[in-house]
Amino acid sequence: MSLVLGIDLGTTNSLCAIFEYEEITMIPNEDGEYITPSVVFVDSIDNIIVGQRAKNQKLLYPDYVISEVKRFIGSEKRYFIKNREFSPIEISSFILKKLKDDAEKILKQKIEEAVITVPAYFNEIQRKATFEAGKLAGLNVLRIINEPTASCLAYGYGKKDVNKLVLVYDFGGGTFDVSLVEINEGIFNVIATSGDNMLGGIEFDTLIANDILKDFKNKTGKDLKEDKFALTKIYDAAEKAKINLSYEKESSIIIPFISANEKGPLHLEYKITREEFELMIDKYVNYTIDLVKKVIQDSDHNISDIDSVILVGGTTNIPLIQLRLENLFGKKIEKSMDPNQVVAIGAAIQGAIIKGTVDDIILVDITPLSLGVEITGGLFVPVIDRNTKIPCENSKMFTTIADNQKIVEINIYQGERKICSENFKLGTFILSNIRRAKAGEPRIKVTFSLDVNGILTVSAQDVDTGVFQQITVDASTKELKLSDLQKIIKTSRNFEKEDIEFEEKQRLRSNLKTIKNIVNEKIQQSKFPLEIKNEVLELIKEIDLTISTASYEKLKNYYEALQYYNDEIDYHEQKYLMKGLLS
Amino acid sequence: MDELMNDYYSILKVAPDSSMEEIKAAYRKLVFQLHPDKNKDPSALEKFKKVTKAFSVLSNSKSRIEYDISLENQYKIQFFKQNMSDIILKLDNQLKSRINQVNKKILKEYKIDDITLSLPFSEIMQRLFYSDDMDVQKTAIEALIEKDKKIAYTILIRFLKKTKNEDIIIFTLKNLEKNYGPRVLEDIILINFPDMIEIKFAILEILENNYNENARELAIRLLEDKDPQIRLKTIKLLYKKDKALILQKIYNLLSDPDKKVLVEVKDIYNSLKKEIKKNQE
Repeated sequence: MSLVLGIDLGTTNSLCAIFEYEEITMIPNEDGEYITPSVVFVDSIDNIIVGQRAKNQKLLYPDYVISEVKRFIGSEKRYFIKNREFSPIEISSFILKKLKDDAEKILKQKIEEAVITVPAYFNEIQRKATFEAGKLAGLNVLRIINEPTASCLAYGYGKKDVNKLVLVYDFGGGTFDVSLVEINEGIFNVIATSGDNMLGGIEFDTLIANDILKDFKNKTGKDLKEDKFALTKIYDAAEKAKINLSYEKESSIIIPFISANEKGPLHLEYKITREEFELMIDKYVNYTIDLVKKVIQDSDHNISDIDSVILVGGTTNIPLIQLRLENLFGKKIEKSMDPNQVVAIGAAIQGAIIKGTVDDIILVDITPLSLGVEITGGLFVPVIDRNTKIPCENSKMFTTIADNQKIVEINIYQGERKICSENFKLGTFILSNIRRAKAGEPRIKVTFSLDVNGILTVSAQDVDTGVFQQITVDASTKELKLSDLQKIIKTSRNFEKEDIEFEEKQRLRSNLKTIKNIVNEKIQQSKFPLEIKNEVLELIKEIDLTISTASYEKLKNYYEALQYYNDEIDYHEQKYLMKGLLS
Repeated sequence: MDELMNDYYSILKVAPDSSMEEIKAAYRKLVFQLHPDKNKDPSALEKFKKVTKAFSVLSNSKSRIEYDISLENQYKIQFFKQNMSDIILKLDNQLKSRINQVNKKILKEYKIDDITLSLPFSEIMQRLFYSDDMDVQKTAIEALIEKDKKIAYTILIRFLKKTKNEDIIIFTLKNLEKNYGPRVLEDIILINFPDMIEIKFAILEILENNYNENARELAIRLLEDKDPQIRLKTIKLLYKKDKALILQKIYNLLSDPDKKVLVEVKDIYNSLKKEIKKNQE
């Protein structure tokens, strides 16, 4: 029986596990370690080296070592090493290949299939790119599953007939995810999920590192910000100090001869207490707690409904995080499983479910972000709402905005903002050969369909003519801009006010256009005095010129003016009509 | 009928009064049959999509109530469509005498005492929704409004969606108009009952008995109603009550797409012309 490798492809570390003979086994790498750093090194003879040995080279060859590639997967970022160019997908595939090769050596058999985990808050393009990386590594990727969901599978496996509401708090090296899962006698129903793709333990390392840099500059006057060697040393030390502070009240760092000035070598000495560290990270921890509350609210539950809280990811070792969660839920948090291993274990279980070796569990996951299309004025209309169970399908009707419009361009976006440009663009396609008709008459049915991997297919159909077109979002044709990666943070923060203002303005603009056309038509036909007629036409001309740039106030003034003229014309016509009737 | 056969309860194969446990159990069974991990058949996938959609709505108490109300309306509209001609005939012939009766009854106010007011909303609602005695229902309506105008409004709108008794519909509408101002009828038409012809007919009857400035606003709305029968009735009403308005709108009315309405409008137009000429002479 062929084995399915369950892979936790992490930002800082990766792990894998298999399910065999009713048992889950963690698979060590060839050095006997369960944890393989997600670091890639290109050596002097162009060999690709992955893992701890690559990480060790970072000090000597910082330019040839790539880490944290997961943060850029699916983006347009490129790594240049010795005239060679690598995409994030390629770098990820090197890590996956290493895990696969090592597992084959340990298990002494070929491995061809895998289940790979991704953060729940990954978008379409990042998922598709992870899939591609697996393919490049020679793996048939059976499924992409969400990390918090995988953890929940690991937690619930073997506990038969459980009915529980479980909150997964997954704080890893590079990402934060929170998911609410209902376990109902073997069915793992994900109810809601939220998170931030740009918040992880790395951010806490950076906080400490920045403090070290500041401290060093104050003491010696020397700025190490641009010193790659020193920075690597400092980041390493910062990470160690962070880990230490989970167990000790205080941590000190000594790095002899980190730099030098005209008098000789400079040594770095730095001390940080747990309180100081907690003060630094407080704001971020609060933010994660807010997301936890939001997920519970979204799902129409109360905090008291939660039966268990599962901690996943190394960052959850920080005592402050555990304390905040215990305060929020008013109970002790379970720590029965190794937070580093649960994700890989869950992936292995999902592999066994797909293979049919585990037949009393099913996972029903959800889509983390809304999917939709752009309408007039750059506004975003969701077709599939976030937190919808997958696989799923939904349709919405749209129409044309101009008379005799022959083609419709459908822009597909993913995100929670009401403004398209603030969401991720997933693709564009054009539906042509729409029947000739007045604006607003044709009925165009746009259907979004998500498969069990969360991969999107979009189709559009002119209901009256039957013209039909369909596309699948493809990572190889579409890459995220680097600026897009920052949007990931924005989507989860509060932008409601700004969005509403934008929406209001767009609505006013479109109302203004409508009344402008009405008045324009009426005035042409009316028997109004010529000077008033010219006045109105002048105003219309002015509006045409400034409509896309004018302020909200200005647009409002225009609208009121036109409304006034509209009433005037009607009144005038009325008088005319009366005269006609009387004559 | 298709939509009704495909309602979420039928998809999950449960009765509409099932408990949450029963719904979860039914969903669980279907997931094990239909999930792509268990069943590779494409038709199973289609069914699975429907099942998850149904479950998402029915597993949340809030969305389930909303769905129940909309389903109820669907049935009602369905029922109404099937029996429309009968009902309209009946309404037309009988409504007038009924209205007069109700008008007399409405003069008699139901005196609400403190004991009634001290009852919780749920208790008063039970009397409104489940009693067969019209006086009990009417008292309940007044008690609700007296207890809390704001809450009463939403309850009464819900009640309007549920009840089938025309007397009570008219009584409720009258009370709404009296307590929340005439604009409320407009809101009811536009927001709550855009497709309920019977409610619109009832509102027109009320307008006819009490035509004033506010009724005029509402009548203007109804002149643009998508149902030609409503437009026709509104035009007839206005010809009796408000010739000036008809005159003002006559050009719009002459472009009505419905033939029957158009014939009526042309008649009115001609007689208006005659009247004006006569006045001049």
